[in-house]
Amino acid sequence: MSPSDDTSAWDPDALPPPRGEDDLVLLATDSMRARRRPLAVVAFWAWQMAFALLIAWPVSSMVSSFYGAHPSGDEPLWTPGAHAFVDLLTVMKGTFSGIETLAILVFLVAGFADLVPLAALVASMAYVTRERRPPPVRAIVARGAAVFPTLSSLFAIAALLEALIVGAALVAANLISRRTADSLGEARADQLGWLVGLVILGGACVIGVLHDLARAASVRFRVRAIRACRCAMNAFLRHPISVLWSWGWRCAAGWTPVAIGALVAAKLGGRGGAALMALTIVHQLIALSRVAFRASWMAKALRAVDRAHHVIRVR
Amino acid sequence: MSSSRPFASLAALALVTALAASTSPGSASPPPIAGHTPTSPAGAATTTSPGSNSSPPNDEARFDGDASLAPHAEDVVDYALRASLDPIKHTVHGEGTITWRNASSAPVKELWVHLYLNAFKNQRSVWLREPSSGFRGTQPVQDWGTIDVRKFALREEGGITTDLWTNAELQRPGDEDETDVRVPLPHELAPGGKLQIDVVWDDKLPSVVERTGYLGKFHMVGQWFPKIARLEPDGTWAHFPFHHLAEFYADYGTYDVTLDVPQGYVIGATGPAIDTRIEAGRRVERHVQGDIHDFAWTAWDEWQVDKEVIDGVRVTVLYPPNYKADAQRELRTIRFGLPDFGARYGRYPYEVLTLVHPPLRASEAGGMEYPTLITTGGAWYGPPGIFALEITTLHEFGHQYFYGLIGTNEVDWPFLDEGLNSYAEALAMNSFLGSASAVDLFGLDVSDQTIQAIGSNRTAHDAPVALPAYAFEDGADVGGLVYDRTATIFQTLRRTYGDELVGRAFGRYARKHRYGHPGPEELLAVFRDVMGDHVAQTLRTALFDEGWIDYVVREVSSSHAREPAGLFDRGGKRETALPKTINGYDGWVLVERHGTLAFPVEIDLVREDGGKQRIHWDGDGRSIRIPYHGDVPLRAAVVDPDDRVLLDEKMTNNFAMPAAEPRAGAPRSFERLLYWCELALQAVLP
Repeated sequence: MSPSDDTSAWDPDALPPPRGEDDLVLLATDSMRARRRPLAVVAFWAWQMAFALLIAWPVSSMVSSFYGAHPSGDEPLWTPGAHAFVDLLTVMKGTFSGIETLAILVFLVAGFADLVPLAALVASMAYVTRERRPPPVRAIVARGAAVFPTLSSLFAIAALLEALIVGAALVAANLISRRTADSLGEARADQLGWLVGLVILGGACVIGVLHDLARAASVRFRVRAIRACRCAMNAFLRHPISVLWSWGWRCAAGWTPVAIGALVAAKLGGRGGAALMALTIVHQLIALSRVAFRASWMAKALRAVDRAHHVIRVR
Repeated sequence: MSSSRPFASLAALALVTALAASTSPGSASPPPIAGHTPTSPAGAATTTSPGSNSSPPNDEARFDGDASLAPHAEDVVDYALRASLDPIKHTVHGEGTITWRNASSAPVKELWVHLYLNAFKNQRSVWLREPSSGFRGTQPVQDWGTIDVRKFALREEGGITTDLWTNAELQRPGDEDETDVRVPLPHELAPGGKLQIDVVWDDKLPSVVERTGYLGKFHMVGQWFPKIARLEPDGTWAHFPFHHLAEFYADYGTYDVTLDVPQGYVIGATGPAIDTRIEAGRRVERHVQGDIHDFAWTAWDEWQVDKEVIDGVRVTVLYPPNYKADAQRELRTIRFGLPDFGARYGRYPYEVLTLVHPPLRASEAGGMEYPTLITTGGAWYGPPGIFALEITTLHEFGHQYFYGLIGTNEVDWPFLDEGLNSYAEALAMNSFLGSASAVDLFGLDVSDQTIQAIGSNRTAHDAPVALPAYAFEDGADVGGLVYDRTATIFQTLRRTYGDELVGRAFGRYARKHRYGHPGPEELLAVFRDVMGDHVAQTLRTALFDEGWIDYVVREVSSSHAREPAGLFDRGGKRETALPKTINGYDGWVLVERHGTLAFPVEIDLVREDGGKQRIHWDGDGRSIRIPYHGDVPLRAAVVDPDDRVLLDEKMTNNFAMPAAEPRAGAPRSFERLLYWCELALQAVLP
């Protein structure tokens, strides 16, 4: 197997290889699996946790400035009835006055900051060294960095389209609900409006799926945004039901541990010590499991775009 | 009336829910409420037994049980009316007879009649002139409403009738409001004298604006007939124009009302239907109910109906199509509420109760109380973990007591109905659903009492609680002070003095004044009788004088115990004692009470080894300095550790550590915030 077997080089529109050729080779389509890269999955979870830490730490420090001097720390905030908790929210409400703007800002920053680690995760699932070992971190980060402009363009386009679709869904649901309330009754009118809204929202889900396929294609074939979109569309149109199902069940399954975690958390309560330690472990396992489902879907996206090009490589 | 509080609370609850989601303190138990067994440091704090200075058992104690309940109200005014609804024109034609008795000690020369539907006649009405921010009824009137009296004639001996309306004074000079009408009588009516008035009138219902009106074919008909104001025992009339932030006040009597609507319509009305028939394509129902002071009804051709007998009462729920789940939740709530309120405040005396759940687009008709008929409200898809529907249902049902059976003046003393009822509502919700009585989502539980306490402290310094409804600057103050603060005042009393005493006081007040018209002094008198002068004075300060309180742990000190140093004259010689450390630790805690209220409170001295010493402080004085001596250093002090004083304005100064003590931090909050941020990022990241 020579580097020329890397089909990303076949495409005349392919991006140039990253500086300092990393000497990676593509895995066979069926071998692109998240379960073969557990360390990469864990690393991606660690990256997301670190980013979450950046947001959580200042808020937690503010809480500590109010309740740090309590002998039980912030335990009163987590007692039944939530009096101290709601009281503290009102005390801190000035801090939250610009929370909508901050949330959008965090979303944008996080969205772009997440692109390179995500691309690195996808690259780690798509490639292997000549010794058939997982690719080194430096190599996959370099691959991720190389496609950052493409992924940024895709992200901007997809976010815009999704926002438009969500807006359209809300407007349509509201309009239908209001217009049919007299004839159908409020409840049925709402249900019809929501149904139409959900169908339209399905469009946003399709955009999201195409977005992921395009990202997989950009990493896999090292192509720019337009080309990646074409690859994504080809892959999607080839087996649309299969692709949507693959995304859908993983998406749904990703929320199952959250629900289970909430039940566990309710049992453990607001105590500290071992209970808090156990809760931390449960919560982080949930976050990790969701990253694993996400990685699994991206691997599926890789396989889908790969199959769409009928490539046979090493196993 | 619920005001918009349960509905508005949803927004706050949604914020709370969004910010806090996953952990319930389910394992912890709410603090016990019953009496304390405090440990007082010698010479520092004393124990006060609540109620210890109350009067010995007296005749008033007979009101602690239902045997003393008045069987009937004093019948002052009877309405025998017939009303016909035109659902296309949204009009009601009414006629009938009002029989009124001068129950005062003074002769009467005039009547005052309320025509409250004229509040929606034009923008010169008092109701539409008054500022309306922060409360219900803020949307513009889409279709005006009026009540026009066609006949108001005194029936005299010999079958002669004298028209009274010609001389009626609909407006005051310089004021175009037509809701409060003075009707001169042709001759004085002596105390005990009766008069009969034949009346004919026409209503044009407004679009649903507040409590009343129409939306399409849905009609909620309240404040719809010429209603005689209440004559106080001294002969003065308690009459009012319809104020935006106010409700009602009237005498008890019997209402015999025949309603006439198109055949396909379903009627819900005050009192039981004693006759129902179909005549010429019209549904005719006669509802008769005694011992009440108002009458309201609804008619709609889409009402769905559920019926159930609960605690011997025939309960009917009217709800829009596909709102079945809401109706079931309301029935479940009433299954709890009827016996619970009956046990606390005396049995419910009527044979029927009707719950009306208006359509969401007519929500302004919801959250209102009338005798034997209440309106709830909310969307058909209300999330099961948010209990606004249950809160509204219990609140409006509670008004059957605090408004219906205890007929206080809602205009001059709104806290006597809305405030006491908000307390009763939260107490019942706590018994019904526990600490998660407002929100129980993803393990986060928030109580109704918490929501009230937060609202109470937000408005604590805006105005006194005990003001007439029209004297409040805005609706936010009505919600925060009349509803939330009154409830929180009594919750604080209950949590500090115990369930038994405060429950007995409330029960006695409710039973003693059933079918009465008590004022604030009657309420304070009952609390004085049951709980003593100190509590009555505390209540007076809290209700009338913007009373407030903030407990503060000012200082905590702890260090190695030392023998006294200095020069000592012992055995005829002067000795110098050098500073010398001995076993153990000394220290002290300084706790201050800020504000004009005082409640007994516990103070925990927390040692380094985790052990606690609980001190009881009766709250007298501005501060207390508590000495400490022990084998291990003192780590911290916490005042009100069980969160009994809900009126405490600042919870974050209720504890302190010595300056050198390492802080405990906020590990639980950090852990949850980190997790929620991860979930949020995963949900929105591409």
